[in-house]
Amino acid sequence: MASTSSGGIPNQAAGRKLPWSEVIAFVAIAVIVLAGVLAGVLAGASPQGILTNVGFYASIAIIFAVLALGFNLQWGYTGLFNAGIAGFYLIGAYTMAIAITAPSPPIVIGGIPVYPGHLGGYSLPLAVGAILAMLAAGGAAVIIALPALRLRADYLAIATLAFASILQILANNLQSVTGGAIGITGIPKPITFVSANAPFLNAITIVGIGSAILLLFLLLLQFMAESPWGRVLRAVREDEEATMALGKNTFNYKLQAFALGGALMGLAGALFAVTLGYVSPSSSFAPAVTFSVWVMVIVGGSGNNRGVIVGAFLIYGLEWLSVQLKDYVPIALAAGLPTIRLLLIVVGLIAVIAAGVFVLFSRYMPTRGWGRVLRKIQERGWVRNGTIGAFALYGLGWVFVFLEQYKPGAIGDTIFYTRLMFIGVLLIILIIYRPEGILREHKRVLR
Amino acid sequence: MLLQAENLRSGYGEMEILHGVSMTLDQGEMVVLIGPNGAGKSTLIKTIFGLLRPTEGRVRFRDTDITGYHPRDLVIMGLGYVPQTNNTFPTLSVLENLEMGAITRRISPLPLHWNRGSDQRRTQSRMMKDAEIRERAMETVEMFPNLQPKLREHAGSLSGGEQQMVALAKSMMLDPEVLLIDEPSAGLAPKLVDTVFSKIVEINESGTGIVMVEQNAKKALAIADRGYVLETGRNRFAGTGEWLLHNADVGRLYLGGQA
Amino acid sequence: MAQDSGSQTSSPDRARSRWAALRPTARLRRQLVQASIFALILVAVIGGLSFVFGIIVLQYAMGGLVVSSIVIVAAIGLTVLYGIRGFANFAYGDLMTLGAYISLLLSVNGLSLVWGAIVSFFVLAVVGILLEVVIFSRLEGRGPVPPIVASVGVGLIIQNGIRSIAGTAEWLYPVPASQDIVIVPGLGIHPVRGILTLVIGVTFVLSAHILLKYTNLGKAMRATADNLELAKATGIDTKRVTYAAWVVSCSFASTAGVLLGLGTAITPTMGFDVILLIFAAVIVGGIGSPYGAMLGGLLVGLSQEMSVPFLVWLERPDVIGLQFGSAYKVAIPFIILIIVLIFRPWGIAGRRPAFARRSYFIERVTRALGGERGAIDASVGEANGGR
Repeated sequence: MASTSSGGIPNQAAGRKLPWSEVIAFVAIAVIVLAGVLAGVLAGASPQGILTNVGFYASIAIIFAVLALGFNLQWGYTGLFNAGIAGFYLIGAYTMAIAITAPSPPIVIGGIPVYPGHLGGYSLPLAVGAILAMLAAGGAAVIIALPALRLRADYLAIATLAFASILQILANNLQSVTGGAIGITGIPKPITFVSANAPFLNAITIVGIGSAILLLFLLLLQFMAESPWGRVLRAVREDEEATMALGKNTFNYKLQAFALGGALMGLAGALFAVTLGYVSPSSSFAPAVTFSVWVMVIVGGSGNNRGVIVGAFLIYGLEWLSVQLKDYVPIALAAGLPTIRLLLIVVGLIAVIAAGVFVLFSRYMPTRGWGRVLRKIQERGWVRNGTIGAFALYGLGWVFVFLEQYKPGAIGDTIFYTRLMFIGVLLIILIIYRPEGILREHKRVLR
Repeated sequence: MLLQAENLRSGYGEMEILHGVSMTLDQGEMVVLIGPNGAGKSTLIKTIFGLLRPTEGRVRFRDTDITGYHPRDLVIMGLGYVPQTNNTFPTLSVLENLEMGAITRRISPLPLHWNRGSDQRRTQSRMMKDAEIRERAMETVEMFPNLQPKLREHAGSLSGGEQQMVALAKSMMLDPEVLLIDEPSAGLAPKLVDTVFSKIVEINESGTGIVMVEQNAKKALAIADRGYVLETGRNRFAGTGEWLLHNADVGRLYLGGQA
Repeated sequence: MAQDSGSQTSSPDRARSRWAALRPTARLRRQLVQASIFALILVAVIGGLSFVFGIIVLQYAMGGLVVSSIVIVAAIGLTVLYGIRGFANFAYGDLMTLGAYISLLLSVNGLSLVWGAIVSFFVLAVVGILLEVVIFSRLEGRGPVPPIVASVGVGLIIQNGIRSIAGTAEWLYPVPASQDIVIVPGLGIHPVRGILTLVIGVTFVLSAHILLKYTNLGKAMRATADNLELAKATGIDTKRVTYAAWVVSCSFASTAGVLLGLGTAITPTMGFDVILLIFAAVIVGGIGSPYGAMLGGLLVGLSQEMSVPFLVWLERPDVIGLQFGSAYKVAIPFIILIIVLIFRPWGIAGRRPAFARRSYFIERVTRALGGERGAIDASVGEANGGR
């Protein structure tokens, strides 16, 4: 495994290692923000509008960072693999929305129910709502963990994934509680501003509150990780049987870690409800949220709290940027697509021919001279991978040509799908080549 | 010299357990490896059988250097291995377990024989049709009469002693020249241990060389031709079974507590 | 008895006595009895319900059987791979979608759907081998989580690749429109969506049975699923078995996808939407056990479809006035899954493996009632007591 200290280059003058990977990550985040700002300027937005937009990026990234911290506590520290992050997130968001909104009765216009209403109207203070959200999500985590924690990791993954999708169905159909497909609107902001600058000021407050919460929990988790409790968690991850033999009730520790992680996810949901001002069972709680959080934690290095926060800002940044650049993509793609396609096919064809020639010639390779070079290449597995890659490229090119006629709608829409594909590719590449994360400083084996 | 291990160094991951161990086995001989826990007995036969890769040292079978060979190649060449635990396929019937033991010599109806990929010149063995394999299974099971009524039962539903018999029968399907057995008595009642040992002696008398790891040192040395005593990954004593059994040092160190 | 005659009598007798040992044994008889009891209970339950509630129950049971046959085909494929490669393939639903779309692509281009399905069967087999070679072989021996993560990545790529190429619109297979065949008034079955699906499902179950029970490859696959290390030491070519498992798994996924597309519409998320149903079937039957998957698929599919009348009943205002009751039918497999995870995590048909410890819940209940503790629980208890 390529797990020498990740990208740390010795800096003689300072006498300690400069964390190059982190520097690069911060530069990347800065570039993302700048590109977003540039897109806003090009679109002719006002400075305040642009700042509000950047504030939106920061607040959602903070929410993802809280999610990632929760998942990191579960997986990075304790080795419990949760595939239902979106479910705990959803519970938190709905609990918050139900707790703090004012009553909203069903609306019926001309005998047709337009809005079914929802449970709630308690108008509780924000902090109480957040605590309730954490309790609800933590309680749900305990319930789901009780049957599944004793089993192998895949049982927990399947159970949590199932749990998350059931919750999404419930949110969609249990109208009397959740407001159905419309959801719950009119969630109050932390501070109500009455001025033209309200969106901007709101964004600033949310980012302020969010960063305070994030910092608080980061310090808390760091403290807990270094405490005896955190050491037991890591021992459970490394070797559960041995920890058990040392007299620790590993089940209770696992349950605690899972519940705390779930509660953090609930808090993220509460923040989300306040940030957006409404919740609905839409794509905000789709399984894709879970997978994005996985990528954030893997990028940041599981078990590394600061790393996963950077990972959250980075990965959500890419998502946000893709939305900002959406309008510019069709133009670029429309100009570039035929070229890309042609290139794919030409490259693929050349590679297929080269691989074919290689396979044919490797049978009758001379032992000396260029034959040795060829053999060395072959021993490294390049031929196999190269051939497969070439066929894939070639096939992809032709598939593109073939499918052009079936492509409906605007090309711009495909950027969302491309983004999810990119997350898929990242998951595969990271888990194969850099399971310890890009920002990882210490050598630790991922389980 | 049928099987020879020279100065083997090996272990799990970065933890070295064998620090240079040697042993030999002659045609038709029975050799027992004894020693305290963690001495590296099981590690030694796993390394010989290619389940662990030695960092140093050689393993020779007849005239071939088999160091680092894949277990499948060794099975094709005529070695067999019976692990200590989990040594049968629990959801396969006894008969299917035996058939699996001969899979490397099966003639497939498609040109996809199960010994493909390994050097077929190394094996002088004859390929067998399905019917022959079944016939061979019936022959083998005659050695183990208590398995005969249970051929169609799942191996996992049998008792521990019967499972040990299935494992032995499975490895005897190809009539190997060398059989490596890891603690055949583990977890068995004393009465069953005697039965298993008598089966092993029977297998040995049919001409198969046996390397056996055993905790039950006295009983094992009594039936063995020769024995090796290992301690912390090194050879400590070596000699005939008789000699080791009556050697004062060996007796004091390793046989004292044994029944 | 066999060994006594074997040593004394002449060789034809001896051969006969050997073969006599191969006659059906107690196990087979036991299985037959169990199977018939299960079938009887099933028939009794359905019969009783339809006696009380009318013929509509039979209609739902028929629908359940059709869904079951799709789920069973998919669950066999998933569980075979699970048994041999040791991880839950979260991309399985998306592989089904891929199979459905490949045959759709061919069938809208003039090829008949049958040929489209056959071609996608083989294309998916190749895709499976590629996945193993390119991705999953690199993750061997790293525990269950990294392959799950990678399979989610594969699923995302397939699902969103389909979305960006074929769009998110619903597609339908170009099959001739036809009416339900009415068996008795109130009970009908569609010739394509019903009968054909059932026939194909049964065919696949039978071919899986023949593969696993009567071919050497199938026996080697079961052996490898039982014990990978021992399979290597026995001389089984485990690499070939792994490729075979991918081929079986992915080609079954393709067929299940086509059947699913026939039953409803073809959308990019059609496979991902049913993945939980399939996981439930696999876990209910015992992970890694193909025969368990058949049983689990039957149970899960039937209970999901047959819960619909009950949920519709719950919708009535005088009961509890549930809204959109039938939308909750997808929650039924989840409830079954949780019950099985609590009480029999190794599946209703599976054997209890070493890793499946008793659930916390049962342990506490047993302890509260003063019952005896299992071996591992006892060790935990001692460890705690020793502090």
